[in-house]
Amino acid sequence: MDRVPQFESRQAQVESLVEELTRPSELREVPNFRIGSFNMYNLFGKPRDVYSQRPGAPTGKKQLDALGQMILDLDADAIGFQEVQNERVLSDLFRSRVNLHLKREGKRPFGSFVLVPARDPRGINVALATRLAVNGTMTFHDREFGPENKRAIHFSRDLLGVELYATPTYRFLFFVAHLKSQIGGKTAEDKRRLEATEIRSILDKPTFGTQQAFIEQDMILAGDMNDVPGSPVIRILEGTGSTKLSDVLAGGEPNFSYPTHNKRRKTRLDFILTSASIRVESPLVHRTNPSAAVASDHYAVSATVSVPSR
Amino acid sequence: MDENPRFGLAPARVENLTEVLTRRAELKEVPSFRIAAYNVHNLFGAAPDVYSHQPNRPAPKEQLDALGEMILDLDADALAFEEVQSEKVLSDLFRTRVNPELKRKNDRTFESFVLVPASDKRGINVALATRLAVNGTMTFHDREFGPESERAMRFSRDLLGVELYATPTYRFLFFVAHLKSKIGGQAAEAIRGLEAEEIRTILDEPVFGSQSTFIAQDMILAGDMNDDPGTRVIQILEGTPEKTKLRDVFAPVEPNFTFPTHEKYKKTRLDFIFASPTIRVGLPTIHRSNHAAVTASDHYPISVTVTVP
Repeated sequence: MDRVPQFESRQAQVESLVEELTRPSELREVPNFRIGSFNMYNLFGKPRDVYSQRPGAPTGKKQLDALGQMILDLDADAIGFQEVQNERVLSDLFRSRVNLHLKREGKRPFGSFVLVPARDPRGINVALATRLAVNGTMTFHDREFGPENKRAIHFSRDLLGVELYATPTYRFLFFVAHLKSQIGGKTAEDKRRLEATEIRSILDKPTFGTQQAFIEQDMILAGDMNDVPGSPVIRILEGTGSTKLSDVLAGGEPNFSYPTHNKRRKTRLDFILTSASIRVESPLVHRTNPSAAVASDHYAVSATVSVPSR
Repeated sequence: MDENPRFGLAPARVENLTEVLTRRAELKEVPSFRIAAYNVHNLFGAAPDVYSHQPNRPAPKEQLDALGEMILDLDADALAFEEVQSEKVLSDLFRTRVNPELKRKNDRTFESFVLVPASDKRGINVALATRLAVNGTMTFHDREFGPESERAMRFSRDLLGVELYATPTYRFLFFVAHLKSKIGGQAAEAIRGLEAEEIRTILDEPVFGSQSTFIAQDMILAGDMNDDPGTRVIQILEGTPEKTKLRDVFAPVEPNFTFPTHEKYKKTRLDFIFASPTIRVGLPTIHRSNHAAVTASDHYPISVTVTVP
């Protein structure tokens, strides 16, 4: 029941459940659409947040402007993000710097911002913003795993999975991950391997009573894996055989997504991994936009998903 | 990559991923376990929270003490909650008032607190606390629904679904809901009806690429449905004749009320535990006899026993 205070009968606030949102039936039939992934480097806001007690300083105007530019540059319909403090800071960014431009150009704005606060000590999370229709969200940050002879662990930044409708009938799964950082050497790599192994376990074994594993469906796994192509961690994520995930950014040259500055050797930490059934092409690392270096230490990545003709 | 500040080389905080948690292999083989549902009436904390802009004042000490007593009284392994501000206020309640008592009794403590902040204007959420093993969580508060002739809507307080292992091999799905309040008359009832229909759609139609529906599995739907047994909303949740029936486990209990704990309104039952056809559930209990109930909330908690096949 909804009465306040201390069980009294004073009128409670009446909730408005009505917003401008997207149902699958309202989507257009399209032959393809684009998806992106972007580590936005400490996207923190000003409001205090019980789930993120140790954030960095709020993101400055210059970085926010540059992030807005990069998101528009991606021209994607669903974007996986890493290093986001909360849903509010992400939706504020879109509403102040992305949606206004899209509306001016007669394009569809972003209305859904999916973020489940996890438990990273830096207060950063993975997230997804979309102008497609969200059918449901999965989060695994309460799942316990690791070798049985050691203490159990959680994902620090979650494995976020969102089922999206891109057209009234075409659905796919979009997972977002941000693995343990490289700082910490061998210990950090061990944790990254455990996280990668658990991600594969979630993708390979039916969850929520499903009889079909996620990896057998049209599925994307995107994010900052904090490791380089060909490394043991990436090989764990890719897997082998009929359920091998394809690294769609593998063919591009030059093949780097980090850093946007020149203080470190260029490498690629950002991935869009795809299941065997989903049709993904035209991968792109967005390095040419001058805003990239102001926006983040990572370049954004994107690819086109083809809708199967049925 | 994890460096700061401003893309520089200063070392970032190294995360500690290690906590004392529960993996399914560490669970005991048991013949049965108990689950519960409880509207804890405005369980707000003092910490600022970007997801909950309009909270009431923090829950007072007397209420927290009473809630602790009631939770211990439930003696359940997985508890669904309604009206919780944040994961922190829930875990603080357990760590200060529940777990110390369980440790004293050499009983297993609660370490998993599942809450996904939704979009309710009062800043209240559904949640789940458990000492079983969490395999994964589903949230539907970003899902858009409603009649196509009207603007799309969302669940205000989410439909939270958690896959739990109760033993190393026995798993079940535990959904928690808190439907639109009665305040608002017919308009509120219409919204409640739409929320109930959407819950049934989620349970009846395969999600996440599944070939099997949730309702065909061992499954519980629990919470404050803000409507009385036999009403249209509850009938929608139970399922129309052509749909798989959910069983209202508390239907035969007498006297049959869970609200309010005070005397200002007519007694009724707003709290439900629905069971799918395959799950074996019994011994429904409305926890009305503990003197702490009145101080803890305006709802009485409810619990049932689930038998492991």
